[in-house]
Amino acid sequence: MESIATTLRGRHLLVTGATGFLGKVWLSHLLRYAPDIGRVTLIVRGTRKASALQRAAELLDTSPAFRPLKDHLGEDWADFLDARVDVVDGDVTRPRCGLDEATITRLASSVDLTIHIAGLTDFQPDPRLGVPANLDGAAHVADLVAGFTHRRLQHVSTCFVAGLAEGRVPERLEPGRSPLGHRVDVAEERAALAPILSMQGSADDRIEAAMVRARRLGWPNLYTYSKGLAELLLLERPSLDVTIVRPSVIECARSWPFVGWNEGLNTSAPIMWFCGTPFLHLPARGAHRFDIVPVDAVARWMTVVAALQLRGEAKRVYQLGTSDHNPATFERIVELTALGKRRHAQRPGARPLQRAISRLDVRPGHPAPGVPLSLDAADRLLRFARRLVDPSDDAPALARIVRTAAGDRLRRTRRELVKQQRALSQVRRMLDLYQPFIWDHDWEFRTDHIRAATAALLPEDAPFHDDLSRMDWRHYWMQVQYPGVVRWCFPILDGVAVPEDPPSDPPLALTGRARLQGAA
Amino acid sequence: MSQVTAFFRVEGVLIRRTAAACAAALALGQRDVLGRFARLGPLAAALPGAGLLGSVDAWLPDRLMWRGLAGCSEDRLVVLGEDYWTQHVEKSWNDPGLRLVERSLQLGWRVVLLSDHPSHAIGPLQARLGAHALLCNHLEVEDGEATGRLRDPVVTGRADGTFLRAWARDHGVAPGDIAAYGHAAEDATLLSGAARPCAVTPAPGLRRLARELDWPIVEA
Repeated sequence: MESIATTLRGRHLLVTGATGFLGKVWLSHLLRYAPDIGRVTLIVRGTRKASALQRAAELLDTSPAFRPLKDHLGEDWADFLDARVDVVDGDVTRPRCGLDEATITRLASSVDLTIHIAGLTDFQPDPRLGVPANLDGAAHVADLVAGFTHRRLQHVSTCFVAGLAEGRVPERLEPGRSPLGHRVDVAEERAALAPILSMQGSADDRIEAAMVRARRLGWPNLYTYSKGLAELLLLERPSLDVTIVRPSVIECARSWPFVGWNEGLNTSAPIMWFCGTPFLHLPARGAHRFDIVPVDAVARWMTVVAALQLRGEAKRVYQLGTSDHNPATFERIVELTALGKRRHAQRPGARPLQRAISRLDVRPGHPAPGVPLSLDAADRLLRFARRLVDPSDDAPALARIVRTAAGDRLRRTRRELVKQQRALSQVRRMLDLYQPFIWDHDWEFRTDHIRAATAALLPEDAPFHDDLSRMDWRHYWMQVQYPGVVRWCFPILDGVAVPEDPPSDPPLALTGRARLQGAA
Repeated sequence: MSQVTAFFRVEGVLIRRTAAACAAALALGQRDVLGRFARLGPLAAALPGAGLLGSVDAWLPDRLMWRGLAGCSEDRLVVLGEDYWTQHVEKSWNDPGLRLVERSLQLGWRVVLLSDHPSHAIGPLQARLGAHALLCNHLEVEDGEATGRLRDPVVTGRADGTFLRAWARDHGVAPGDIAAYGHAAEDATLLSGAARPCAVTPAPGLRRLARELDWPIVEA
């Protein structure tokens, strides 16, 4: 048996989605601990402003995900990357990923394994965006790989393709069957989606139309629907050697690239943000499991699975989660979030109001009508205030007298109330989207395959080993997740950009040397 | 020849906080806003009658004081305990006491700290002072929730003499090699069991006794 680094030595990987949260962490970790990898070709979408090569170079140079790799390599950073990372201009939403014939020919004989990470992770995207990215994207990657000499494909999906089939979720996939056991013909389903995608009108109309189909088959949102269909589609390609990797909710890094690293708005951030508001009831079932997995664990395990695929020893499905061997419940996560909020508000410089609010602890549970500081109560209060400052003509005389007396002085109050009502409806919308995951269903995702794989690793594979069975959730949430989300995610909710690292001097330039060396 | 062992009562000698203040802080840090005040009930019952209750059973006030934490999750206990340490303990050092610990360590004495604070709040103290042992209270936790009970043996100022003697016996410390430092009147039992008693910035009750018995007094 050989080590993972040995298996990967000299190999050529083709990767989609390396510019995303998971993709970046995976790539930086791979390059750090399997430095003898032959070549990694990234399919990156060019923009009007920057070519794919420029975009990738800038991203590698300035993303904090590459910070420890950069620190490790020092002056060799640019040379190391240029010798290993190749970039092709492509787009998974286009047939054969938008690659030209020459590129495909070049890749076909060289690529040992394709890793498809690209996807749209919004729960409820406009089907015009979600279906091409998640379903068509998988089809296009599969078409591309079908023409390769080595037809190995690692497809990154999600545990939540289990949809409405709650309870214990095994690591398997039944061809042509939806979570509820209905027969699914992916081609028919895609054909039925075509008119929905071309529907004029608002995205909400298209979402509603697509959701009718998703619900019928047992998927609670368009994300899981499109990812679920993508898995089924890949099973219909017997010529491919497909392994499906299903992470659960991917959150802050425990150690790589550094403690707390996160990017964008992942699943927990809005829930944690909600816990920081004065609402005391989060509609979630306390006893249900909240399956969370740190991003660096997923990155390590993806590389383990990649090595197994290259050795021909991989299973069909790997679920990457914690709910079966170290479960955290919503009760616990919500409480830890409340404690994190409280601690965060104690920092110097925190506003007194923030400190006062931090003392109000949110609880999971259904917000029964009449519960103080529930969404319903806030809604009623806002409506009442609106009626008072902006009464209709048939409102009680007192309200009309107040309006007349106050005149324009209430204009600002009116505007503020409208703003608050809008914010409240956004919160409601968010909670509706989350409801299947935090209230309706309870899943236990089996993770036997990856745990068996990591248990069999050699001592020299330690950098790829991650065991979450003894992860201390309290430590993770208080020291990693909460500070990480506050640092990297909450600013986005406030409309503030998260700073990137300064570029190297001179800035990293990818010249295509990796490609030339590979060809040689 | 046995090593000189110095027993330090934490409350009053090393920090200017009482365990009751800790119990109140933890109770007020509970989840239910209204429940927080209800949880102060057992503490409120234990405090005014501590002397009377203590005369019946030395451990009773301490056992009662933490009852309000029953049902509190272990996560909350640990986090609030850590916060109590950083926000209160670390801001309430009693310098004369700290200097005595330092001097004891320099003399090569063994330093044992006695505290009726729970381990969640006072746990880091041993490492912080470089002491050899910390004898403190431990809140009982079952299935991830506090029961509101203290695990035996319960440490209380009213019975520190018992602790001192048991510890000295178990560790082979000769009676003549025991030093003890106290602050409150109830520390009298601790000091009276030591060959080298010392009152540190003492409260009036202990000050009176120290003068009567000619114990050294260390002032601020």
